[in-house]
Amino acid sequence: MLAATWLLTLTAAPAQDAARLDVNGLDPHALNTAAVEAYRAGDLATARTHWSTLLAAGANDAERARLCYDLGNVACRAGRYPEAVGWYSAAQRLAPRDADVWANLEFARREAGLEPADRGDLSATLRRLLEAPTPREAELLLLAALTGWAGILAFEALRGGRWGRRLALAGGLGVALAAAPLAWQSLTAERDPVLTIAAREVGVAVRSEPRAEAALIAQLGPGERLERLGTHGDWTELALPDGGRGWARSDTVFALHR
Amino acid sequence: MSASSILRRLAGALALGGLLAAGALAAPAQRPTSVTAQLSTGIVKLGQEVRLSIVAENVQQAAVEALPSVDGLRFSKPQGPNTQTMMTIQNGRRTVSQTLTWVVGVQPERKGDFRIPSFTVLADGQRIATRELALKVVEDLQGEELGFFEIDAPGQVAEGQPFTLELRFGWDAALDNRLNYANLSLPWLGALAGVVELDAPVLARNASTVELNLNSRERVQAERLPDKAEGGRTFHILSLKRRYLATRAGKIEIPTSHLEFGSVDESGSFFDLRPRREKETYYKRFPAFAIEVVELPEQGRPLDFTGAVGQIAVQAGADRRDVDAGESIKLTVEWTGDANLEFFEPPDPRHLEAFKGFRVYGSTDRKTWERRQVVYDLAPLSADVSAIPPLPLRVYDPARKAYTTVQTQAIPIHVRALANASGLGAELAAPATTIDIRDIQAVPVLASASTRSSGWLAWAAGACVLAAWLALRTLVRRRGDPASPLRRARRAAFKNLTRELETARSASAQSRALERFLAARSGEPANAWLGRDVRAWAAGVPGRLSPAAAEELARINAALDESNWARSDQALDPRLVRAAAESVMQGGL
Repeated sequence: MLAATWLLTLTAAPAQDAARLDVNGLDPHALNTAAVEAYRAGDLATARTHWSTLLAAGANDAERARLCYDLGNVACRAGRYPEAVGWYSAAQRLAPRDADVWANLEFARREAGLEPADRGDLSATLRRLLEAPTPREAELLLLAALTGWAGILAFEALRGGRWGRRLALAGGLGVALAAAPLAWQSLTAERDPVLTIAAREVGVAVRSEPRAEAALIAQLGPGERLERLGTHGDWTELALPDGGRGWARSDTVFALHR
Repeated sequence: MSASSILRRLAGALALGGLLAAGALAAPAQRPTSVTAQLSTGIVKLGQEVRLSIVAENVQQAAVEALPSVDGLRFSKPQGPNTQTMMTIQNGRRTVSQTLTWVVGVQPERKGDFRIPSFTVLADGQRIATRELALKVVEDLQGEELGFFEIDAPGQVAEGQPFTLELRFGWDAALDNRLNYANLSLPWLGALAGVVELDAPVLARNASTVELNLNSRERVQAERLPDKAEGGRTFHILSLKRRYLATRAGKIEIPTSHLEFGSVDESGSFFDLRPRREKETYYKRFPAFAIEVVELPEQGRPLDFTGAVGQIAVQAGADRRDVDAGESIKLTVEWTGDANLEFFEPPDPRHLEAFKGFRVYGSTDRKTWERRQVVYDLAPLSADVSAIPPLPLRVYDPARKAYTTVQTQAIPIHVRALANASGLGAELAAPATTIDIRDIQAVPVLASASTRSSGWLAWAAGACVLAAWLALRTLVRRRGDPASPLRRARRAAFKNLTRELETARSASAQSRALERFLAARSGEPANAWLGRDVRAWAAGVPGRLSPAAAEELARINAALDESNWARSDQALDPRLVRAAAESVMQGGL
């Protein structure tokens, strides 16, 4: 009964339509084709405009990841590597296992003078493993593990015995492992993350108030992830890692929720 | 093992995993801690108070440990600390730079030369010692009019801008016959916060120099300048220069400086270190002052600004101008001027669109305080290249308070086509590969599942699983432990009966197997079923065994007894016994 209920839950994941039927009266497929052609012809401004329009019009997550990736390529080709890092990071949030996104993200980070997103050490490898599934996949993984564990626990409840207990414990560890990605993503979830995108040598100045004359309270390098608390004119309020708050110019940060 | 002990073990395993993950993911960063101590003046008149400033940079917590005891000096309790915090985040490493400042009043109680010994500051658990400080207390600071002292310093500099402090000092030329000693008392030397001291400008070879004492503990060469007439007196003038680079916005406080000159007894030579008995001493003071360090403006800052601040001139040259395609050209670019030449990042032609026709093999960088020379190793890729394009450097000019671009002149070159080339040209004929981004994803994704989680479903399901398990377990155990020997024997009874019936060759063996089956199912000893009146037993307690099952069991027992006694113990068809056993189980036993 329980398993049947979950099965229904697993299969009821909502499938979204690729794109809306029209974007301001234009066919999204035609707009995408025009963007691709413009990109191929080196007209980066037109490609950027079309893909941005498609992104703003709304689409499913995989399509949004693709559009962010393509916009990252536009920024890369224009030599705006910090911005490209922002686009690829936004794409990576939506498609965390996309090899193209990872390859281009690392390329853009290198060109922007940043350390690799995956440094290859234990910490980075653990993080990459935990962030490999999307939140939905992490949830399904945990539900599948729970289904198996429910069967084991039923056996243990009805039959008991040493083997029943051992199986229940092993199943519990399996569920804990399966829960790790979802737990990690829940713990580290950011409400409205932004990425600093100023050039390495310049950095992002964070001030105590949203005006240029206010006191400088922090200096951030490019590629730093912070949470956006709000905006005021051309200024964005950021949550600083020490628990404080500060204001940076909006053109020096890049919103990752796309 | 109980449910609670299983949960405890599970929680322990999760906690261990969490600790391991947290340990692996943590990556703190910290700048080196420094502590400086500085007196507000090196020479003071008896009765006046001196301020001792103690500055601890890049610390979270610090405390001044016991101040030294100096006979003749009275120290007040340290006031502060005043805290100034600045945070920097680079490549994910957060660096919090916190500066703590204490001020201690020092009251001289008698005249004399005092040494304030080194004392320690406990900074983030680390004991850091300050340097020894010198203080001279005199009865009277006489001779102001006999000396000359001025410090030439900018009132304002930009962050990252180098600046020079030029100290010009001297004494009345009429005192020449009476002087054999001079000392510069600069309590701030080597103790300025917020600056990096650069190499001092090198004196010209033909410069005339004079050696004198500095802070009564070292010797320094000062350049002799032409005499200067002022206020009806003629002064001999000496000059000493120090160069600094401002590292952060704020104020650079420079305490009072003194020039001390006069005559002493028992001195070995003119300007000897540490005079033993002063006959007459004069003092010329230069008051404390501050230099304001302003931030670089954000407005108009080019994206490719690499930190160059100052006034810069550039010149460039190529070692050859007539080359084959692919042949190396050494482009030497030299930046000079009053700027932070040692501290900016030189431009990288690989990132410049104008240098697309070149392959950049690398560069060699040489830095001195007066010039920055970078030699770029370039190779034109084709005969279409006709010049080495201008190489731009973005510079912040503090004089104009604006960002400017300093760039080299284009250098015309002649590049011969590869067809006639050899050597490196032949090597280049092979297709060259490079790292590039992967191509765009041109095909729209028509449909996909959402990547977002419900946020609660899985956790709720986990809680349900645990609750259902605990409920079921509790319910089952009300009837006893399902893993007890009796319950296990009861569950295995039918399987054992089937196995025994397969090997039983007589009715008596079948009868014994059936008795063991009934014993396991009922929890009674096997001999309790020997000759039992099953119908009466079943009727004795309602619900113990259904009448139909009791009847079936009585029949098979009778059949087995009959075969045993009347038909030479001939075995019955085992299926009949199994059917009776199944009927008994269905009947409630």
